[in-house]
Amino acid sequence: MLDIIIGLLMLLSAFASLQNKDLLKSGVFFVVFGFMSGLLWIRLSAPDIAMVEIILGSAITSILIFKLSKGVRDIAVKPEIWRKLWAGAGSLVLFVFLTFYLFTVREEERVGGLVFEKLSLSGVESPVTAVLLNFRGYDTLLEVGVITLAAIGILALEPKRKIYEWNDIVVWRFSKMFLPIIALFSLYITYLGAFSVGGAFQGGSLLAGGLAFLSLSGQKLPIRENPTLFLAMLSLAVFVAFAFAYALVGYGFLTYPLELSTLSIMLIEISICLSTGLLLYIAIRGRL
Amino acid sequence: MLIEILSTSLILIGSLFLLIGSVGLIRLRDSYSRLHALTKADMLGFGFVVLGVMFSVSSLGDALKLVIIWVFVVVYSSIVGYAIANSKRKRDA
Amino acid sequence: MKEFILFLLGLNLALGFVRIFKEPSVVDSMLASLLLGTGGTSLILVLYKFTGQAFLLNLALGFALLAGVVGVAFAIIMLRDAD
Repeated sequence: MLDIIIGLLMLLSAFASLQNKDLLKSGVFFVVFGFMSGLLWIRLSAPDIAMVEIILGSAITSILIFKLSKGVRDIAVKPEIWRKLWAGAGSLVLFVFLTFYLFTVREEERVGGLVFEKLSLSGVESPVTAVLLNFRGYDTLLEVGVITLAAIGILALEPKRKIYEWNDIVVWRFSKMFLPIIALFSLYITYLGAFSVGGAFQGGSLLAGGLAFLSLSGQKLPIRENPTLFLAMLSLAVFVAFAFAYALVGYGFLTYPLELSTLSIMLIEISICLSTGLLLYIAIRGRL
Repeated sequence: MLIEILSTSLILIGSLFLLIGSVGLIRLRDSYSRLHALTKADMLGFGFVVLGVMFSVSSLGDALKLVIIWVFVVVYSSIVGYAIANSKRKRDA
Repeated sequence: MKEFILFLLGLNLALGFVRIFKEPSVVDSMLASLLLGTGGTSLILVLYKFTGQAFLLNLALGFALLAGVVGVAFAIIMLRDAD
């Protein structure tokens, strides 16, 4: 019964979010859509994706949409009917293809069993973290690169408009109370990723939310600009350094030796958490 | 067994209070009164829900986490309520 | 009974929509986001109790922390609209 409500609300909020001319209300519907997607992932027993969806895809993205809504004048571009038909047909083809693939792939071809076989060699106990940072570490390296590049692009634009703040004592005091707890909790979630549900990106986006709260209450981070930039770029540097170091020593590009794999993964995860938080904060704020 | 009944009934009472808040959101006429109904009823309902869930946790750490969740929801509920009211007042002026 | 409670909490979230569809003003959207924060956290907590998955507690804490940020962000950004 709950699943029916979740499904209906997902469709309804997605539709309302796309149809609305006002970007701000679309943002609210997008929060609902993200939350419903997160609930869907929970019901489908995919906890890590649920956490990322709810924290990053729902909360952080909606903050970005709210900020965006102030800068965009008129988004009412109505596409012609044949474009809509092409888009609908393309989505239908993709849906049919994916469903067909899902039902005809053989059990031996799925990699889930392989992951669990090799889990003890990866250095962590959670299969999701093992896949993200060890078996398919290259993908995560490129993801970190993409986020870093996006933040560099945002910094290069240097918007001249005001940063929306509210110099209000109530919000200020409460943001000072929130941020230490959020920072501690984000590190805890990052560390927990090795054993159970959690991970670097969840912790990083939580940290970004806390930093965004701080900046919305009208105060800057008590770190100067250059250390902030250094810390933001740190995770990409750390990741690439690990990859090349292990290649130079003789193990291969981004291949951890067995004894050092847990340590490497934890160090890379902590740096990703810190940097992703700062990078998303830069993206929300628009500048350092 | 008794604890199960107690916690489920507390959660039921909590969700009914949350629903009362939402009905207030729909039926009342003014934004300020809607805000009033929503924050008060929601905080009460959420408190009952947390109390009901707290009876079924197994470790002290989990119970402490529930208390922290409750404190933070109460805190942010009041901040956001204050922020919405202030925003509406400044927009109408 | 469990299904009924989950249905009530889902209905709680759906009722927020009704408000937006009846009179879609900005302040009502802010109220809907507040409702989503509190109601959504209670939904996650009840799911935690009924399914016993431990991560839901962490998820509820994370969501409670961030729902405050989103709500305040909404109110602050709409404040500037009046200028």
